[in-house]
Amino acid sequence: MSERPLVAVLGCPNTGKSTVFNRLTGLRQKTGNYPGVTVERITGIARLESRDVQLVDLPGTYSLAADGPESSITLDVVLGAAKGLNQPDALLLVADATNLRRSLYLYCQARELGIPIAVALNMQDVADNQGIEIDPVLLSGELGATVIPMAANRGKGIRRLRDALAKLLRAGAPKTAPLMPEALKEALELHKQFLPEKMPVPALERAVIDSGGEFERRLRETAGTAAGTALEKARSRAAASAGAISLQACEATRRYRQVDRWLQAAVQSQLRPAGRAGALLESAVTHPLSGVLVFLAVMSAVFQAVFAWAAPLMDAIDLFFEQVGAYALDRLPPGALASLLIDGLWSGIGAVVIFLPQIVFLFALVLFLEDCGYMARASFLMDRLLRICGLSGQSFIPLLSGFACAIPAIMATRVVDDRRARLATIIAIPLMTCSARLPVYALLISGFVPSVYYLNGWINLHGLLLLGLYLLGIVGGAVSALITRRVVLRGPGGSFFMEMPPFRWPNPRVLGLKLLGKARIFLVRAGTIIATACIFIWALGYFPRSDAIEEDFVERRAAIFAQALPESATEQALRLANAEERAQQLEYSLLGRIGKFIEPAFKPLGWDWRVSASVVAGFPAREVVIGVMGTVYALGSDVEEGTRLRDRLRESRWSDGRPVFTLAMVLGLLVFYAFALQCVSTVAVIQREANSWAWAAGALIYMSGFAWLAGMLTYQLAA
Amino acid sequence: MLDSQPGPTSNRIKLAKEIGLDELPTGCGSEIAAVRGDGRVARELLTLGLVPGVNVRVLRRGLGGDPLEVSAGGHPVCLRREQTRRVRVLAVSDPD
Repeated sequence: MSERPLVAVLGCPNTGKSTVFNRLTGLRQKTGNYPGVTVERITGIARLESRDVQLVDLPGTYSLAADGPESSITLDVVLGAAKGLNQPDALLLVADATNLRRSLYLYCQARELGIPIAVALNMQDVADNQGIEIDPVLLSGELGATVIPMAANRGKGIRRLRDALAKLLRAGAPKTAPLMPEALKEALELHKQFLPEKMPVPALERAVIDSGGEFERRLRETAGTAAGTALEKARSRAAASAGAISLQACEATRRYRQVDRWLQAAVQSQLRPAGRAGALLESAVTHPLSGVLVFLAVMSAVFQAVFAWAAPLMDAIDLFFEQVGAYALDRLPPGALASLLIDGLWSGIGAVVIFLPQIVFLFALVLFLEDCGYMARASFLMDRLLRICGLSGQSFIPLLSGFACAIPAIMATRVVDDRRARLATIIAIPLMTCSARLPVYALLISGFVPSVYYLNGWINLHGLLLLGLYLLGIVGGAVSALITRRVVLRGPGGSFFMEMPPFRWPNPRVLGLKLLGKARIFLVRAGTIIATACIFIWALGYFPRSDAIEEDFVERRAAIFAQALPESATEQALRLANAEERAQQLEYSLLGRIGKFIEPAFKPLGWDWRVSASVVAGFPAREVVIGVMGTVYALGSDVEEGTRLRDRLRESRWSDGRPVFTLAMVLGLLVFYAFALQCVSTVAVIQREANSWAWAAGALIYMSGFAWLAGMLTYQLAA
Repeated sequence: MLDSQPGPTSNRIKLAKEIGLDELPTGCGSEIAAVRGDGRVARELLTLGLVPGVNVRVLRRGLGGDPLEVSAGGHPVCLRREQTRRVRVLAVSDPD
């Protein structure tokens, strides 16, 4: 295993680095995390000539300079300082042919590390279309490295790249004169003086050049204050001998001058201006006025499509799980096992799968808008607006995805450069109205809110209320983000840079693969947790069982048979008795007891023990609440008749005869659902992405408390 | 303001009067004179190719004039106003 040579793949963001990596390794990949940071570590095995080579896909970066433990990963891996990885035997730099200047800047830094390096000139086809002519032979000669032109998303050039890598591993590293000899000299001096562990000379060179950077911090941390003072002296000595005020300005100037010389020798650009249609489209989507109109139109179209198209599929899935469950229940011997399999496991799986259509539709549209280049323009347009709440333009796509499901949305926050804005985005996402809230909203709104029409029947109160709940979520998210940034994470905004991709038609294959990935994340990450939670909740609602109730109902069923009614009437009476038995057993169970125990806490919201127990049951995954309500209200497996559950809820009474489900209580319950973080998978993914249990727990407590308060206020004010 | 004291270098100073990149109107271009500061923000700007001597142009602005898309040496990038303020460009003609 460890005998395999290691090749590190590096490059700027959006150069198609991962596509190249995927083409080389295929399915032989492993994903993990670098210890202590939320950066994914992706390694894979590629077959070159007759041997296997290990590849590591590094996070996209413009420079080897680092400002935090996350951005230092690249240099750490390349220098062999990352845990679990040897020092790479070769580097593969993936460059974007349409944006060669920035890629070659990174090359200019990387070639001084003394490791053989090859350049994959990706997106050659796009560059051709734009009128950028790059002579790979000339460029190769200029750079002193093999240059392989390719179009990785079409699989072009991959074979040549394999051959080049195999050859590269046999070759030695080229000798390159350093462009910052002053800094290098000081770095060598520092190394001799302090011998800091895990800080090879190139890392020290970065410490000398980048004032306030990650490597400076690390040197101070490992070698103490003496090293800090020595570093400052070294920096000013190097700056003086370079004749510059700032070493980093000096580095950028020298390197870009070198890059421009390379470009001049090997690249001929006759940039074709975008066509009239393209130019018109560009100005329409980013113009302050028409841009906002286009934005609103696109968003309404997305939501319309998601809800209109997904509904029939969701109904079909619902029916399928319902029917199969009922069929199997009839044929299994009655008892705990049948109940576990059908009411616990099967309906748990159903609770997950039912959201797949909406998630797939929304992500298909979001990914399409992203890949065609519109999302970047919308983020650009909306950045100022989002920043009012402490977010960033880059938060936009994750927030939008939050309307489908918070789990992939929170994972998508990795695109947000600034750590503070990213955490604020993570906190705001669970408040976006995800598809799991919809069934609850639909049941409560259609059941208890009068259907009033306004404006000659154009506008319905139901629709208005639903819209209101969406807006409530958005406002709640904005306020939460603001609180996060103003109170918890105070400080100046971080860095922001974004490259506007060109408008283009997305590649359907790439789109499909990404979509599959999102669906898999949802099914695996959310699905396993939701299904487990469903089983757990089933157990809470099933155990302990009362023998007295069971015996009572055995007698009752015997009585029904004894009456010798017509078959249909017997069946009806039996069904009723079964449902009632389940309801009574549930009241006796742990879940029923919990509901009664916490009833006082939710009394200010107007809930009785049944509602409290259902909400507790829906705590790990809010969508199961309807199923639990069905059992609590003795509907048995007849929940598919939503109207019956609604009728039962209407009939539900306090002991003094007042109805439980008043309009005020329902409004409060709706508001509670809009804010509550009732989803274990979301809590788990917050923990993972924020890399802190404190954040996950904080979000849970804050949102639950806020939901309780808002629900209580709504109920009290409306009552 | 700068050329109120005519002297041997006043002509050069007048030509080299600097303004922030964020002050350039959309569609206008100039040459980078300096990138202010010696920390992370300056480093990022330099890395992206906003280097003294390079030609820059403001391509477009978001709602409220922020962020800006600028092209540096022919390569566009979107930046916030507070970042572009650090980039000093030559005001070719007096803004008045």
